[in-house]
Amino acid sequence: MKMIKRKLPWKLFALFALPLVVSCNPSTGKVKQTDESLQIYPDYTSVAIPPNIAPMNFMVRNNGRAFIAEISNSQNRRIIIRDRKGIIQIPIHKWRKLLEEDKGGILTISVFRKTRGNQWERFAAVKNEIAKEKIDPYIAFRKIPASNILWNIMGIYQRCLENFKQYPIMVNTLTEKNCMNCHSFNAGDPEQMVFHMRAVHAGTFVMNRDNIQFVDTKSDHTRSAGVYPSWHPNGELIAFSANMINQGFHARMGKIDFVVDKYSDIVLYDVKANSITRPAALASEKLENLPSWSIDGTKLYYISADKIADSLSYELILYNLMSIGFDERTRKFGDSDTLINAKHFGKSISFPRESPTHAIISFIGLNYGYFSIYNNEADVYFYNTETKEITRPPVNSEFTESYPSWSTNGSWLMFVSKRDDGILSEVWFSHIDKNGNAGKPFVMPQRHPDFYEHYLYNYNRPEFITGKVRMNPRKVYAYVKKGAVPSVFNEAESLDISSGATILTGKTEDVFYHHN
Amino acid sequence: MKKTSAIKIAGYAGFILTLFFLIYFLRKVDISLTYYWQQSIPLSFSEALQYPGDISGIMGDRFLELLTRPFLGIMGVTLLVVIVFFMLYIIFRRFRGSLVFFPLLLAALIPYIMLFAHYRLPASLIMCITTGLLLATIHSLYSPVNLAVRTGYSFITGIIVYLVAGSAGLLVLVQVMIIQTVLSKKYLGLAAILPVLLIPLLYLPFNLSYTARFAYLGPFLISKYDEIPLILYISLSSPLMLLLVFTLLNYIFSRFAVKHSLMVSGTAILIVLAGLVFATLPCIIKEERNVLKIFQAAFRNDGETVVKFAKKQLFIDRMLQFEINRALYQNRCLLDSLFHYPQQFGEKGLFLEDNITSRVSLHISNFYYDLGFANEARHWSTEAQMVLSRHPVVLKHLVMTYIAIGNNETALKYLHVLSGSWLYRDWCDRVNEMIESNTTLNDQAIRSFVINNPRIDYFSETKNPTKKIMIFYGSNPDNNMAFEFIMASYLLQHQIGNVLIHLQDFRKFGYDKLPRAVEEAMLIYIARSKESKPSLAGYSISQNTVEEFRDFSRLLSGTANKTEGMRKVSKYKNTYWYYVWFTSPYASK
Repeated sequence: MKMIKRKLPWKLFALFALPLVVSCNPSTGKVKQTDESLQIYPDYTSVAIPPNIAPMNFMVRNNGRAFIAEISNSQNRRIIIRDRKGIIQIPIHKWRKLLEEDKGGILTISVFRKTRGNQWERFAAVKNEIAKEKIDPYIAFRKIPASNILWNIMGIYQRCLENFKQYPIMVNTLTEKNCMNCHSFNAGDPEQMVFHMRAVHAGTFVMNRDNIQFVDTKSDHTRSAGVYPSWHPNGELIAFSANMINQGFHARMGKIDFVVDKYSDIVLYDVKANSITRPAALASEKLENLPSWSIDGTKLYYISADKIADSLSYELILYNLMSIGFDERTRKFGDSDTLINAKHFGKSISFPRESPTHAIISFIGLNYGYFSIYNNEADVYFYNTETKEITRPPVNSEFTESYPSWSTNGSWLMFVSKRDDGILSEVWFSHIDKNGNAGKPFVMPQRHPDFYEHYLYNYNRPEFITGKVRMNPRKVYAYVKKGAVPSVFNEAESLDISSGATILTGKTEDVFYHHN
Repeated sequence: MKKTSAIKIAGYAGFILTLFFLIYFLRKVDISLTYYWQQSIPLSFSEALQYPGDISGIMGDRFLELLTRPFLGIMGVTLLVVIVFFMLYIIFRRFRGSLVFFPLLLAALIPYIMLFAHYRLPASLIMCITTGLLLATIHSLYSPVNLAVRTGYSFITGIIVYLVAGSAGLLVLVQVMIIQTVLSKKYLGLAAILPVLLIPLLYLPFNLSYTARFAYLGPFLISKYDEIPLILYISLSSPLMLLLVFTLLNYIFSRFAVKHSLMVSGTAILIVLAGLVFATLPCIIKEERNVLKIFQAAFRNDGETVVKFAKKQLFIDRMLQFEINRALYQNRCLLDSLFHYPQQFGEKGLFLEDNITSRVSLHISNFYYDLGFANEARHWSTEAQMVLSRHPVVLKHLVMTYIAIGNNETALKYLHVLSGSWLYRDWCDRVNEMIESNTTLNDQAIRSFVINNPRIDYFSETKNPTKKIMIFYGSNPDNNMAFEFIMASYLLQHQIGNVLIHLQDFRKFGYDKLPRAVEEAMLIYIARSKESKPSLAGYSISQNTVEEFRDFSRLLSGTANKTEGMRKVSKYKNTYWYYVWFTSPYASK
């Protein structure tokens, strides 16, 4: 008798509760499909995604009283998430299994919504491709707010693309809020890193595996310390630009800021010897800038423009894409070659970067100058080094695209874009197939789908890295506080100066940057 | 029993009187000025979990929003004081029967009340102390006997307090733990405090950008615009100080039998109340209050209030002068009353761009917003965002300028952030509706931006604002504000000839007669030039002005030195002549 009394309440509960449970979830047979198209933010539809990417959480922007999202792969593994507001946050372990077992397969997102009449209806499913090629697990970037003259808190961070973890590499709260920028890695190697600090604790942090130095690359022979860097693949040399940068603010609405170099040249920094060489070929009257080594290290790509008189319009400053041969053994440069003439192309060239696997150099094309981040017309272009063809991949928007770079396997293109709000740069990825065709891009996933709606910082200069950088702010500061070791200027190897940023000035400029 | 009840009644009566005084004090302080100085859109909860104490930061921001409504603000502060009083009551409940219990609790409120007179003390820090005290009080309600259990319990509480209230809250918790241990006389319990003190260090692996200094000092590391007065440290250490005083006074009163305990207690309460009045009222810095009232009125575009409070101001710094000049323009008397103020900064009192900080950028942005110069208003708001990233005025400017520029996406981004404050939700909804219905040109500010958009692009020079506005005026010859500020700048730089060239423009802007400062400048020009009757574009100078100039010249002639000259013509200190001869930065020494 007692046993019956104990069991009965549970049975009664099940009898009353079960219909409630069943009635809260849509059953497939009873759900009609709506004609309304599914609106999700961020737009993770019809994209190719890496199999090791973090969960691509999204929110449903269609109206509804409740939502269910079913995410499935070709193996029919499913993840079901329910949320009243349509905020879909996918459990990371389930997501990983879903992707890992179905590389090359299809990821389907089906969303159901509950209408005001308490009826469930289904949106047309969206499909994404799960690529076979992984993406590099980390990126490094500088986090800065949108500003032109002042700065406050900033830092260089690394973000794991396989989850949402983010770690600081260096933050300026430890260094009296100085400026830091231009972080760069040798082919994504987290053990070979360089970045600069400006103002207080000025210098360049160079990490070459176990050899870590904090150096001052400014000398009497250069107008500035090293600026935009590029590691040679051998890890022994870094090409820096040396620039005198000016900034102006547009008065008329539509444009924000214009950055122009008064002088710029390219110098070579020897990591082991802590010395700088000024190759004559890269220190002329022209404005040589943004060095970028070829994957095999036999060429240096860079941009070059004619200096114009101050009285002429800044819109006449057009940068060509150049290439110059380099002998690693003798460390001598050959003759330079114009790969793209900006006048013929109709655009100025900026940020060249060679793909590791395709015969492609990605670059930014913009109407003038090289500092593309303030130019809405700045777009990503591809230059095919074999066919000499220039194409504009379908990754661009009406807003600024900038700083394209390649994953180490060449299958993923990363760039920054301001397409979301027109002002702040976000990190976007596009899959590149074996023919060099770019797929529809997608924005870097975040834990909270509404992250970009209230985030007030830029992702500046994102760089792929193949692993986690072992440095953290406390470790970096331990080197920085000792002071920067001056670099030696290698006069013997620096020949035939004509003019430019690296003429012998007799005095060092304290400031390499001016704003008007 | 009767005596105990009477002492209680006296104690609570003293508390109620304290609250009445508090209301009076807060009205004198004008706590809305604290909101003006510190205003910020609160972070979302998920963003606030990043750093210890940020949850108290959100509470501080929400509390600041209350301060904009006089009644709600005063009630909010009163509630905080009541909470603190009862928290201390609970912590020191063992002393309930003591004669000095209520007087000392009331005395402990004095430094806490004084905190609200400091406009630049971050509200987040006040919240850290209050929430730390609240959590510490809850902690004190349960006291495990077993040392290991107590240590674990304290450690877990410490983690919660550190995350919610930062190291300030942790300090309060440690004090309360010490008090508990001392009162219980189980001194071994002090060992439970050691792990709590290590919590900030244990946090370091979770935040690689933190050093031990940040971990321990977090909320005390404030921006250069804020301040931490000494009274905060006194308030922070109130629990321990109370313990010492309780112990001492109890010892004294226990040795000598007190017959008239009610009288003693009542007298002590009166002394404390007198101390409350004499300690709190002087800590209101009238000068600072006046300055903040001027800035608050300036941001409301209330030129009359700015000028009213400027008259009470003894010392005028550059930013004040800038806002006074702006207010004079709003009151349509810039060129009449410009030299009623010393203008010792010259044209740098009109434009602030050579000395840029985020807070200065905010004021500059306001100026260009009024002018209708969208790109400059946007630019300076962007610079202000560097430190004041969630400042509502900055965000509003960005919303409106980006709408004018045609970047609705950007405007919506900032609108979304701004809508995080309940003070601005209605405004945000209105602007949202404007964007959706494509009726943004109905808004006066946006229309002004579009109309005043320079026809030809040029580079805005931050180092030469007069030139920048001259070029802007060239593109917008109907912009009265640009015209008047250019004229003011010329006058301040002694460039009277440039004013003369533009005299005919005064007619365009509806001047029947020349403004007073311009008349005075013309008289200097006539006196110095070789022309007998220069053309004044059909204007004549009033006879009164001419007579006064003659008198000024007569008084000044033959004076031996500058000091004597200033004394002789002191009745003309509100004139352009006085400025040129004495107070101008270009005046000969």
